Amino acid sequence: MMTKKRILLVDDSPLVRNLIRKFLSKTDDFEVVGEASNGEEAVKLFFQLKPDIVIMDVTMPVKNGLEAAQEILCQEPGAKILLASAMGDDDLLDQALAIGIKHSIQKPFKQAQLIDALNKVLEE
Amino acid sequence: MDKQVAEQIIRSFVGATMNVYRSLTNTELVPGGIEKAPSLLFKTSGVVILLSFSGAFAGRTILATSEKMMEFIHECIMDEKPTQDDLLVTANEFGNMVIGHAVTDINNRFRGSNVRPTPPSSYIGENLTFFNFKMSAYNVVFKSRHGDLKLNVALEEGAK
Repeated sequence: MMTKKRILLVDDSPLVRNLIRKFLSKTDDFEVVGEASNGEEAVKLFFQLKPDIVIMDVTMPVKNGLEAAQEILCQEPGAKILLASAMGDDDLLDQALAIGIKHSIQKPFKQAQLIDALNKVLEE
Repeated sequence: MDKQVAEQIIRSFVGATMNVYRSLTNTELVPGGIEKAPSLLFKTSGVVILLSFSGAFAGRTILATSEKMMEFIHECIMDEKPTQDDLLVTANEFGNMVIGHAVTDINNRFRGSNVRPTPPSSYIGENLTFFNFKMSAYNVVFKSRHGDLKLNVALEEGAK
């Protein structure tokens, strides 16, 4: 039996976290092992749980997703992060790339789009 | 603000509203024309989402619709009936997605403008009045099977 890939969910919206959790619960390949509602919690949980992939929102209170991702990638350059934001302009994506985030998905997305994006992150 | 630039910004919000609604519900919103708001006051009842943005272009957007329509959006997303609190959470996230898409379009059209949204606020109430101070406002009314959705975009005067 194939081991499920462990996902850390980071989004300040409980609706989005519920929705992603629902999407992933319908698959055999992924499981949510932790949830954070801001970038600071995200960094803490990342080093506690060592997930396979982090699904990271951008605009969040306390610490935003790009800052959290930068902190994670500084200490763990191989960390796999999927940026999930309602925003997707070229300047933002350039900033993300400069930090080391190569994959993003724009909200709203369907289950199939999320799974496809997660698989692309894993292929890295 | 240049009239053409203002019109483009409003079209970004119109497009964003339609695209996000379609993605979430698999149904269409049909937009009416862009009309200059007849007064500084915007009056509505139901669910209201307040969104702001700043950068090279600054302003405030209101999305207003009925509780029934927001229930429909929630059910499409979550496949369950919402509580009153759920309605506000859904409204907030709907607004967040609309402004995210609108700002994405604006930033890609006007490179370097670095427009960024602030977190939305949502309200449920009757006979609500909003006052657009020192801003030029425009209205668009969308029609759908599940009711109307009103978009009011107010742009800061004197912006580039």
